[in-house]
Amino acid sequence: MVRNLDINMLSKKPRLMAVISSAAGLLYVTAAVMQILEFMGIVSLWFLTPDLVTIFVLLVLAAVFLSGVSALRLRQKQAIAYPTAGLLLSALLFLLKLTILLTNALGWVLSFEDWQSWSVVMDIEPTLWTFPIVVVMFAAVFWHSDTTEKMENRVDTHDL
Amino acid sequence: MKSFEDLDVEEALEEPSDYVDPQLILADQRYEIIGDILCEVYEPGEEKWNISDLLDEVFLHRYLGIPVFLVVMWTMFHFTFQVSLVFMAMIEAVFAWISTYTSQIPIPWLASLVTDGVVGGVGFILTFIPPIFLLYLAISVLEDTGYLARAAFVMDRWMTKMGLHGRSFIPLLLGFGCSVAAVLGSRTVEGRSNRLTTILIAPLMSCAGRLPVYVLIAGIFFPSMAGTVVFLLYILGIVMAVIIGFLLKHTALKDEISPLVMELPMYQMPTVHGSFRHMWERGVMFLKRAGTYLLIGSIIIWALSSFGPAGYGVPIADSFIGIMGRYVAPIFAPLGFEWQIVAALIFGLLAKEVVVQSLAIILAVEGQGAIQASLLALMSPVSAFALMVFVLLYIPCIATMAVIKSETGSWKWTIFSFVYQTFLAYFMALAVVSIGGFLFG
Repeated sequence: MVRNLDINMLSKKPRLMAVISSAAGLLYVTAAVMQILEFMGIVSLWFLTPDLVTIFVLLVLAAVFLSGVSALRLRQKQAIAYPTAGLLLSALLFLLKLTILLTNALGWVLSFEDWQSWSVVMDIEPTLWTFPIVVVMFAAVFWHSDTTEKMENRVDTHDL
Repeated sequence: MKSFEDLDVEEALEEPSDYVDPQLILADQRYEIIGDILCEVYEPGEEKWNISDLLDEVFLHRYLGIPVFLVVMWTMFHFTFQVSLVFMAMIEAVFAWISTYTSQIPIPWLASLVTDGVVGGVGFILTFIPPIFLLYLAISVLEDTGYLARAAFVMDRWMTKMGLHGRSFIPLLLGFGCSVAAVLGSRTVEGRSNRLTTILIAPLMSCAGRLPVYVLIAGIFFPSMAGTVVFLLYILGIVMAVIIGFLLKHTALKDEISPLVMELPMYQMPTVHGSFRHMWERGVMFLKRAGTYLLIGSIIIWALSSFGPAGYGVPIADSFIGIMGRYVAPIFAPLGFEWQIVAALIFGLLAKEVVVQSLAIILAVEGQGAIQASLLALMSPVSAFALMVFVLLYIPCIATMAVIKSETGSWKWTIFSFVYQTFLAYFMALAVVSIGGFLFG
């Protein structure tokens, strides 16, 4: 089941998409830098985990989002692939972390020995909280794009 | 070698050695015909992309392709390990409850056989059903989406640079499930030396049978980063396979490299029914093994642990398994493996699951408490990591060796496979202990 996508629908505002992709990329870079600081013991924040692999994962996500920015700025429509793939990977990692959180919660509810000291905060990490932020950013672009189009259509109809 | 422009397909297929790879010619001609037909019947409209085009722009990207592949692989192993933990605890609780009843059987040897042998052995190995099933589920989802074919494509560039055949990656991927399937899958690789190289390196890919060992050891010694440790072991298996393949292709098995020609399927949305059916079909094999020869193996290991030259009930160090383990243990002393670990590794030649099963039985018969505490007392974290590396690299099972013999038709290569893997495992484990000892004291 593969649905054909109208690339024009996705990339009506390539420059706006470039801005949002940059913002998403920078968000992941920031999260990765914070993770590095956490790993080095410079900061200690409850929403970070000192894990090297997570740093690598965040940097890859940042690279995916940022790779398409320059092409989007040049209005190259195929560059929409980068934010799309970035969103997909972010969603995959978010679902992974959410599933782990839920299964850990199950272990805590069943009072298993290894989950006695578990709390939700222990499973909060960047791949979990960055995805909702990125989704909100992209949803705002689509909402803005959709609203603008409707307004333009309304003006056109009124002119007629 | 003639150039592409000078090609005549029929002539080239008759005398392929004078030309570029015949598969390339066929693919080129096939797409030329497809292009001609499309020109006649297709009216280009507004520019449209499908999801496959969009995603391939990134997933097959020259530089992003491999990092994205690593992220996907890490996600798969993290999912397998972390999500399965609670379900493992559930199964463990069920068997702990059963053993409270079986331990009350009035005949001591029968109580020991059922509690330590059957429940402690097969029951313990059954607690690893969740990670094995979840690993198969993750592989099924990746297969069904069409990403695994892309993974082969992405890895091809890297593997070709190392002198390996691009198609080798497909049987190597099968090796994540079962080494026997990986060796059999090497039939698709062209050229004798290419195929032989694939057969010899396929067992280095970490099969599902090794997963219980990683889950147990990583869970005990590296609880906060167990998923990452398991992921690193899988990556180490791939890296070692590539290095050994490179060495073989540049020494004993030199051959011309032929390019990888494969048609990538469109991305698909995996269905719940399809993915779970694939998971069940593969996972049920593990259940059958647990119900048959792992059960028989449990009874044999229990008997060898409970009986010695002096009869039943001897201290485990004087049992047959203790004598055997202590006899071989000095070889493994530099790795920090006690005789119990060595005995489990010997039984692991039958199948990798048996390592965990043997450890559970030996420690239960020895009268140790929980396996976690016993293992923590038996070795250091560095030795524990060395043990996982050893399990990763030494021969997967007797069945794999039998398939290598049947596929190569040669005792020489079968013995070579056994010997090089054993030495590789030993020296890599020794390297881990040496470097780990230097870094962590």
